[in-house]
Amino acid sequence: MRHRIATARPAMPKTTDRELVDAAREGDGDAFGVFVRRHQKRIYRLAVHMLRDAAEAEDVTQDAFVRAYGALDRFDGRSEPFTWLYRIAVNLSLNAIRSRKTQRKATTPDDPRIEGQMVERRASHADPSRLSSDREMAAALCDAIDELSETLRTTLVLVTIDGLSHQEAADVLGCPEGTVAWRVHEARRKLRVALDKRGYSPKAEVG
Amino acid sequence: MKGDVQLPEEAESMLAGWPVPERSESTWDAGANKILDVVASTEIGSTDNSLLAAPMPEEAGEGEQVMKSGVESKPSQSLADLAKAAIVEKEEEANELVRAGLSLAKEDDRAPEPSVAEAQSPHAESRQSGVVDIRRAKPKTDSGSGKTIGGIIAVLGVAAAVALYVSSQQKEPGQFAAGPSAPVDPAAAGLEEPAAEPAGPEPEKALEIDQLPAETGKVARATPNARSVKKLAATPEPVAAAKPEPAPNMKAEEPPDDPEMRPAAKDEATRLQPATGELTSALGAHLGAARACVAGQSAPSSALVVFGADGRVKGVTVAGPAAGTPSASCIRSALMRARVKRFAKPSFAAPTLTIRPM
Repeated sequence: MRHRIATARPAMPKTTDRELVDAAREGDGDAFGVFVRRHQKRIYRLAVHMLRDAAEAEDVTQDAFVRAYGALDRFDGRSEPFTWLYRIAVNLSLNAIRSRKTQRKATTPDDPRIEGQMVERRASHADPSRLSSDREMAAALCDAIDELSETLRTTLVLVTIDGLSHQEAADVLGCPEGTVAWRVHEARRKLRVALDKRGYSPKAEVG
Repeated sequence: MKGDVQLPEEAESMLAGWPVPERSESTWDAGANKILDVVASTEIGSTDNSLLAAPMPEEAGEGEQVMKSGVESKPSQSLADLAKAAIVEKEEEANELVRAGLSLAKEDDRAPEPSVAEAQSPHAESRQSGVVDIRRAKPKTDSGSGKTIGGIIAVLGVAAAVALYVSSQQKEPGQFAAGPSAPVDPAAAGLEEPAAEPAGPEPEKALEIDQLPAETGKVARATPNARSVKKLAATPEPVAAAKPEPAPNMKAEEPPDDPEMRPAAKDEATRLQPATGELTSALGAHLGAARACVAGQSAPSSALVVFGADGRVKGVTVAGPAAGTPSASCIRSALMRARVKRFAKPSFAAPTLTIRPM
């Protein structure tokens, strides 16, 4: 079943995701366009943090929406549409990581995550030495995140960086809420150890 | 959410406010249009199911956190399974006790009251012990420790009875000659001066007479020959003889000084964790209330109940569709009322309860 999809930005700001998905399933192409624009940035950020590569993240973002559209008939409405979309994006990201021929070990200078941090910091303060230390800190943090297992990293990204609640993350990951809480705690504990090794610790900052 | 692990302040602020990578609005628009172009040529139903599955593998150590007790190594059982097992176990136990009671009743003439029977029947002791056993067995929840306690009491009773008999045998030496062993030589048993003997060692010597191992404590723990103990306990003459004139140093009904002779109290104090049957009945009593909390929901939820050493519920963790909803606190308050007996472990997590909607 194919539908015409509107490419112009539709004016449906108050429609819920569930309504948009229901409408898209019924054949309303505009509704899916609204859904894409509403979640495009967050899905892209998730993919960037998962993949550490802007081009791959863009591919995964596009694929996530296309696959979600292809699975509209199986959206049962138990969870929120965006958690369902996140799950597809996480699965696609993991597939992309696993299909890589070589695994990336260290954070590269052009890591899109660091660039994202620095754009905002450049706007807030212009002190070159501080920007430099911020960049080092962001790189250290990215390295520490990359040392985490896929499971811990994904959960941390969803909860801490993307701001999903434990319940929402549990819906995405298909695990109990308590498991999400434990993973976040464990990820943070490992982050702290990794940052300590790199000379970043809460005490040092206070001193 | 920070949790209880504090990261450097700068790292916290970076994590919490990680911006979406910078792109112009026109770039985002172009991206959306590209997506929608592809979507326009996509059919609903074309996506593979594998992309909709739960994505992450379990993290190492995750299971230990969720079930931090001895229970997690066992396969997960629903409360229904536990209840069925307990019912079958109890039925078998009850049937056995009923059969024992019936066989005892066949042996004796029917007596209206046990107290009357005690006075009238020569088998009063045996019937009395049978009746008491059945009544005592009914309310117990931990059959293993109950059997041990019963065995200990029986052995103590036998020891006391035989000791009394041996002490009186000096006056009537031929009375015990019909027993299973050779006629007892009091001198060989070290009982030349029974009046001067302390209460403790006497039962040991008395057990030797009946060819039981010399150390009573070991007998209490290891004796498999419950029948011989039962027979001795049922022997009416020595006990009947002992009743009217108890020796001042014979405290058969009190626990002896030797701590090994008091395993019942020891078991009670050092019981490591609640028994399965006890958990089943404690949680089963409140499962109905918990199920009522999820009435109308389509999928079952689960609850992890952790008991404290005092037998009270320390915490209830609800997972599944009910988690994070008012149903979770309803389930929590229902299961918080469960109680078990005290145990030695600081805490004990019961097997995860599956709470199916009513």
